[in-house]
Amino acid sequence: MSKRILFVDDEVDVQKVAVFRLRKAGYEVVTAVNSDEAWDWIQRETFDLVFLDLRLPGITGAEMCKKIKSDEKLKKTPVILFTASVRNLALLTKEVGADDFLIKPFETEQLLGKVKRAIFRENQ
Amino acid sequence: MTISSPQFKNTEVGEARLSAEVLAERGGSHSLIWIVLVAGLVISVASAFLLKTMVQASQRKDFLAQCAEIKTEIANKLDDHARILWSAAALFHASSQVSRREWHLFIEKQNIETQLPGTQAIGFALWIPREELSRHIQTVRDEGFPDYTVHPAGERDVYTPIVYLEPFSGRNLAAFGYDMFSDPVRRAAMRRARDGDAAALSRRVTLIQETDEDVQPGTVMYVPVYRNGAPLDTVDQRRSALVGWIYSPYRMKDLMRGILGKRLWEKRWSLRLQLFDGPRALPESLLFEDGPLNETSFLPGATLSHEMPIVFRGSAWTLRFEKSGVGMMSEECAIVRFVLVAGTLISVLLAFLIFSLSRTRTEAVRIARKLTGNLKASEEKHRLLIENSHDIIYTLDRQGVFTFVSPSWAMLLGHPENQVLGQSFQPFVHPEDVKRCELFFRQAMETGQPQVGVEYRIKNAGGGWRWHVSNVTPLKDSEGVVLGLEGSASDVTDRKLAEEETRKSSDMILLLLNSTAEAIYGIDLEGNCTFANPACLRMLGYESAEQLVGKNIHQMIHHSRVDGETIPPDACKICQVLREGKGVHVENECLWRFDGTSFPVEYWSFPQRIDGKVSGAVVTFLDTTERRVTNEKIRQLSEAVEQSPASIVITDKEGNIEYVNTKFVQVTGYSVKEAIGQNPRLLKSGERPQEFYKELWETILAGKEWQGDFHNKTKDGRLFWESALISPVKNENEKITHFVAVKEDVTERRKVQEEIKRQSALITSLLDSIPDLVFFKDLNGVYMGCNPSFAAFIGRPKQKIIGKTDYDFFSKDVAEEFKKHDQIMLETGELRHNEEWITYPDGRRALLDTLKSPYWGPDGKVFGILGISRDITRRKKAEDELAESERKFKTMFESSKDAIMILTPEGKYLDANFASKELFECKDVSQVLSMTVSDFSPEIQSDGKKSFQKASEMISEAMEKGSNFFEWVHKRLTGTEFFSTVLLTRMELRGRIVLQATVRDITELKKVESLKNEFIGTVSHELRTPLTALKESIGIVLDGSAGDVNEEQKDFLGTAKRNVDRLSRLINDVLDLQKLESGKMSFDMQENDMNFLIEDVRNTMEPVCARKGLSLSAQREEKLPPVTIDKDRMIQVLTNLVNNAIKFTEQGGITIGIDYKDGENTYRVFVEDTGPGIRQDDMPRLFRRFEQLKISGSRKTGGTGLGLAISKQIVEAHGGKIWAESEIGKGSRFIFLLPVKEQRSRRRV
Repeated sequence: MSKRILFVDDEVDVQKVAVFRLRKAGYEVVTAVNSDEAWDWIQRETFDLVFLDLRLPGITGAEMCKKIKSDEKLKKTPVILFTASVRNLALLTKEVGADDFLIKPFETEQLLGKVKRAIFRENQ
Repeated sequence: MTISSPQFKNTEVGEARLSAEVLAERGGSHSLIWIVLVAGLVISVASAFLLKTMVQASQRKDFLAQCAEIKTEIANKLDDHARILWSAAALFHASSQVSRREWHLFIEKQNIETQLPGTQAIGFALWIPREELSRHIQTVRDEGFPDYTVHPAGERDVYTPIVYLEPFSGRNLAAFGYDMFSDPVRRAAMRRARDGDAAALSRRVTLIQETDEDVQPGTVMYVPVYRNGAPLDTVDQRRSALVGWIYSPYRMKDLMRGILGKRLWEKRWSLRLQLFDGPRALPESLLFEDGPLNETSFLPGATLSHEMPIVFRGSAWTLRFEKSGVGMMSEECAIVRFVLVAGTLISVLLAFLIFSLSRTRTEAVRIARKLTGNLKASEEKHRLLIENSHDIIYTLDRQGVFTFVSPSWAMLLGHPENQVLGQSFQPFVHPEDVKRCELFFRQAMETGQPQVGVEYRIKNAGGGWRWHVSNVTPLKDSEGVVLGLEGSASDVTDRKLAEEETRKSSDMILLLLNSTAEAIYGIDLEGNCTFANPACLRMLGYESAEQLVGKNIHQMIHHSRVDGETIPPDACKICQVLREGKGVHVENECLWRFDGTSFPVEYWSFPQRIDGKVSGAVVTFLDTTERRVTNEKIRQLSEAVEQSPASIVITDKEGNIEYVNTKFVQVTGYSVKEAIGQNPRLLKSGERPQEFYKELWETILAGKEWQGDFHNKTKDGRLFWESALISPVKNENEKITHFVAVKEDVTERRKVQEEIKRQSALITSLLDSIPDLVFFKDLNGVYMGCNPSFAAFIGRPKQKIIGKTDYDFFSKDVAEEFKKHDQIMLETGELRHNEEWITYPDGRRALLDTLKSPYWGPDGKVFGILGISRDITRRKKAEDELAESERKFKTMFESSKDAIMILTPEGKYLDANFASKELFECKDVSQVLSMTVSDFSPEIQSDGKKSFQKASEMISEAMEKGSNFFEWVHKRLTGTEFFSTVLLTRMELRGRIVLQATVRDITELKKVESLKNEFIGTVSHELRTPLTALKESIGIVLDGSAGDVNEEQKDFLGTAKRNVDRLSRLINDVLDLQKLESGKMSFDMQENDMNFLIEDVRNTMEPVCARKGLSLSAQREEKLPPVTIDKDRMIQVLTNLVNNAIKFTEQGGITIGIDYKDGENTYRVFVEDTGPGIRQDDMPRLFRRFEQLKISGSRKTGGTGLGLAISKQIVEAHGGKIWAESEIGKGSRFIFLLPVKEQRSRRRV
């Protein structure tokens, strides 16, 4: 069964290309454009990975991540932060409990690599 | 004149001789005495001894006889005892059975107590064989002795119990039934008796009968009883015939006492007897002893002793007799003693008799000797007297005829004896003296008394006369009739002559006394005047000597002192002479004249002696009135000299010091004693040359006075100056006798003079050296003097100036001006100070600052004018310039838009410009000045530090480094806070170190910056997002994910992608740079292995290099310890450097390496290439933003131009440095230096 990824980004274009890549790589991707929608999805369905853009309408990606990670059911779900602002990203990642981060713009290998790692880290 | 007789020593010698003889004699008799004594003693001892021997022999004989007697006695008695027993035994023989009662009767009859005292009992012991014992016992018991047993009990072959015993009472009862055979001692005797058919005496036993009282040793006698009719020839026969024994126990003492009675104690006997059992006299076998105890006597032969054995029927006893009291102390020896004592006594008496006899004799001899001796002595004396005397001894008969003359006559007078004897004396005597002699002799003869002292002249053989003096003693016979005269005469010629002389001289003396001007008088022992010469009388105002002679001089003339105080006679020195016999010399007393006035005198008083004894005194005195006056004058004079403030030295004509006064001593330190005799040159300090002294001498020797200065030396070496006047002193003949030097210590004066000289020299030097113009004029304006500067100013030499006035040097107006000023100053008497423009003689104009002051003279009056001028032209210029620059500064200060404040290092504002007032919203500048830094700051700065503290830190840094630029949060007076930058600069203002603070409100800046940051942040983010989409979109199509692409499409898409990438990179770099520059970049500093990093980079970049055909090598540095760096950022730097290298290198290779020396705390990482190198001109541009170097061909490299700038920022943020080294054509090397440990550099805005 292919892995399910929840891709949360309010930039449609970015989403489009990233999701294309992911799907090309064989992942099942669900998209959301804001945190509420994302939250809905998470609650309803299980995902193997959540991609969170930091800049989101509603709750920020960071908050979202925290929320996920503090949720009993969801905390096991790997989260990758996705953002253009580099400032203290590593620190932030740790802080919110995310598993990894990806800087925009990204290299395809980077993207896929991180995804793979995150999912399989979880599975181990 | 008396005749003294020589002492005789002979008598003593005689005496000594006498004693020796006596002793010798005595000695003789002494020996006789001893002989007699000894002989007598010997005889008596010998005879005593002899006697004693005899006595002792007889004693012994007696003694032995006594012993024998006793022995016999004992033996006899024992026999008696035996007889009784035999008779008892016979009883048994006679009758076949003897009953007890029969026994009793028999024994009773014997009356043994009286017959045989000492016998305890007599008894019969029955011999019973064992088998018959019980029967026997029974038998006896049946007899009426129910308790009868044979004892001691025990099994024996035979028993011999005592069956009969009388007396049968008391002690004896114990013996009843006793088997004597059981006792070995008794048994032995019993056997002896049985076997020998004889009486036997046992050895010492303790009798059965013994009780505890008076235990005596005893013995038992046995007599055997045989069967009637039995044969008794052999022992066996006897043994078998034995029935029993008759026995009798004896207590020894009782037995012996019984035998001897008290005999031993009798005087006649006085024996001690000891009876021993056995053949020897051993203490343990002592049976009995009796008799008087021997007193231990140490006299030999005091005790006689004898031992003799006594045998009785086989028993041997030993008798030992002792008799004491024999020997010397015994009665018998009395005669011996007597003889001894008597003999001794007689000998002693004899000896003593002889002794005393001899003594008497020697004594008598001694006395006789002595008398003779004495007689001899006086005879001797007499003889010697006569013979040796220088005096003549003579005798005259009644007629005055010489009957004897001593040899001295002949000696002294030259007449031989024979010519004198028989002559009468008159012819010998001087006619004038004959009468006197006759009278003298007659007197003696008639009175019968000795006469003395007749003087006469007597003729000597030479025809001259000798004076003699004679004493006579009448010679009388036994009835007292004067037979003649004995006389002695001595030659007194010399005396007489002397007397004559004396008379002559006393006449002389008298003459002297009378003629002398000195007053002389004499006193006797009482102090009465004996004479007074005319001079004395005259001085004392007496007219004749009678007025004084005989009177007590002391009372008359010497009674008081000048002040009227009485001089008591004891204190009178003149009288003292009489007492002490010593002369006196008094100067300070006075004598009183007849008229009651006194005058001072000097007197000498000497004792007069007659025959050694003080007989009076002679006093000489002088009227010292005049002398006193003179002395006083002299004294005064010399006082003057003494106390003169000048040193006065008087020398003789050779220059030897004869006198120095006190001042001299004070000044030079030499005492008077030390100075006198010395030459004044001892004061020489050595400074003056020889010529100086030579000249001195010459002057004074010529009789002239000399004056000069000496630099002399005190005793302790201190130098001083003296001004001396030396004059010669001449006597009446104009001959120089002394030199007098009067010297004044001028050390001080000289010092002062020198000081003055020095000071004036100083002043001159000062004046000469002062660049200022110094001059002084008199009251009329005439120059009196000036310094070289002034002379130079005037343009004339000093000498040409002195004496001239201003009119001579300056134009009329100028001179007038000067004069005016001078006048004013003189009137006011105060300093005047003014500035004047002067034209130099050479036309130059100068501004002179002139100070004029009155020149005060020593008397307080104004002397002249003193002026000092300074050319202040230059100064003025400088002042003007300063003022100008100050003005400029002030203008800038005020007009600056930045707030500029001057503050003290303590933070207090000294000055502030307009802008600052505005900045801090103060009313005016003065309000600013009333504040401090703290007032214009909030309590805490943005970094959390207290403003107060941080401010001092900032100030300190500024003070230290000269300046400090930093951000600061200020607070306006209104309370609002704002960001600012502060530049603190240390500077000096009017001699004070202060700080200039330039404060710029950067709120706007800050705003701008934050806007910028925000903008960049936003922009970058905003830019990035579309870029992502763009990039991926292109990528997706390019890699064929969205369908096939043809070559041309690929090409253009490729272009698009490249540019997207470039754009992306640019954005990143810009962001990075911005972050770095704003200090917002955060570094994740961890320990890393640099080698690893380099390896990493190498791996990453290798393919890129390979693509270009370049080699890429990495050097490891093993020694490098782990370093603290931000890994990613470092990789960024390295990657950047390598990228650059790749860019610029066409061929060859690139090397990455590390330089590190062990132990250092920095290391270097380098990236080296073999490219074309970098031009020196381009070096500065390397690390600038957006500056890109062109490669040959001016092809753009495709970089952002920010790489190195970013790298620089990163390296510097690590606390390191980055630079490049290059050589054209050789290649380039980019090196960055990093600290091993984290070290953040200071962020700078």
